[in-house]
Amino acid sequence: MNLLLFYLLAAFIVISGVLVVTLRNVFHSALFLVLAFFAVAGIYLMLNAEFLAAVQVLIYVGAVTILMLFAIMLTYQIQSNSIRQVNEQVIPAALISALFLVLTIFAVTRSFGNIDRPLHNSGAWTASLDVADLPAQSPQWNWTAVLEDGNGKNYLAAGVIYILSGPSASIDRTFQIDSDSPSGNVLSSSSDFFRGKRVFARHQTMHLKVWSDSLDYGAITEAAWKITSVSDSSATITLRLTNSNPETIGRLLMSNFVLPFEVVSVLLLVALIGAIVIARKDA
Amino acid sequence: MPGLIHYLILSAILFCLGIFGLLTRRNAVGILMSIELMFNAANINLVAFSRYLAPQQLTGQIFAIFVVTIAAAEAAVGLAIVMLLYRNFRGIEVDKINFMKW
Repeated sequence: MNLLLFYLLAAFIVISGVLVVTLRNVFHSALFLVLAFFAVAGIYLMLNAEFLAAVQVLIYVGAVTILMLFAIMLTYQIQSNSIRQVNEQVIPAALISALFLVLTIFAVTRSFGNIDRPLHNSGAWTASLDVADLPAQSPQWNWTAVLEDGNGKNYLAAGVIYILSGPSASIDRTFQIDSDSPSGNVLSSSSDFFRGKRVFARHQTMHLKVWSDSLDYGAITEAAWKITSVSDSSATITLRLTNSNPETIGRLLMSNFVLPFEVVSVLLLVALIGAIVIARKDA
Repeated sequence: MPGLIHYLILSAILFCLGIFGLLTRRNAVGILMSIELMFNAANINLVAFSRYLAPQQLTGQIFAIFVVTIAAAEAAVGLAIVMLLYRNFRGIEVDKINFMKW
C-alpha cells in the first residue's frame, strides 16, 4: 500500500518534472512545477516530516511559484509560443544528464541498496526527574508515563513515589515497552519496580529509560517529565514522550540550531533588501 | 514500505531533470524553475537519509528547512535580476545576454 502510494507520488513528480523542463509555454511549466511541489510534499508526509510538508506547500507552492508566475507575466508575452525555448545543446545536455543519472543510481545502489527499513528502529529515551524539583507540599506523587502521539494518549506505566528526607543518590531504571501491545504494558523484567511503591529521598534523581526494540518510534525525539496536577494529598507527574514533529523541530531550532537559524534570518533580510534594490527603478 | 533506495533514485531522477532544464532552457525563469527542481531533489535526499539512518535526530529535516529558506531567498533575488534584465534588454533569453562575455 505504502509502496503503491510512493510510486503514484513518484510518477506525479517525474512526469511533472519532465513537463517543467520541456514544455514550450513557460507559464504551463510553472503550473506543472506547482504539481511537482505538491507531490514532493506528499513524499515528505510519507517520510514522517509533517512540518516540512507544510513548509513545502506554504513556501514553494504559495510563495516561490507565485513569484515565478508574476515574473513570467511581467516579462513575457504569453502568446509568444513562437519564441524558441531551448538552445542548441539539447542532445549533449540530455546525454550528460542521462550519464549523471546512471552514475548516481549505480552509486546509491552500491552504497544504500540494502537499507529497506529505518536503522536504529529501537528507540531509547531517557528522562531525568529531579525529586528535589517537586514541590514540597505533597509527600506522595503518582507518576505515569504516557506516549502522546497523533492518536491520543497511550498509557505506558505508572507508579507512586514517596518523598522522604535522606542521603543523595540517583536511581536508574529501564523499562521496555511491550512490542505486542504498544499501548500497553511494561515488560516483566522491571515492571515490579513500577508497580510497587518506591521511596525516594529528596535529593534523588530518577532516570527512566524507555526503550522499545520493534516498534517504530523513530519520530519520538522528546522525553520529559511534566508536573500535571498538584494538591495537598497527592500529585501527578507525567513522563511525556512526544513524537510531535513540529514541536520537536521548534525545540531544535531554538536550542541546538539557534545560530544557523539566526544566520538564515539575516540572510533572508539581506535577500529581501537586495531584491528590492535590484528590481526598483532608479530615480 | 519503500526502502531508502527508492527515495534516492527518485531524487536522482529529479536532480537530473533539473540539470537537463538548466542546460537547455533559454528563458531565465525556466532556469530558475530547474534550479528549484534540483533543490527539491536535495531536500528529498536529506529527509530520506534523516528518516532511514538517524530517525531520532531530525537533523536532516532541519537542514531541509534551511534549504527551503535559501531557495526562497534565491528565487527572490533571481527574479529581481530577471526583472532588471527584461527592463534593460527587452528579453530574458540568456543566450542573448552576453555583453559580459569576452
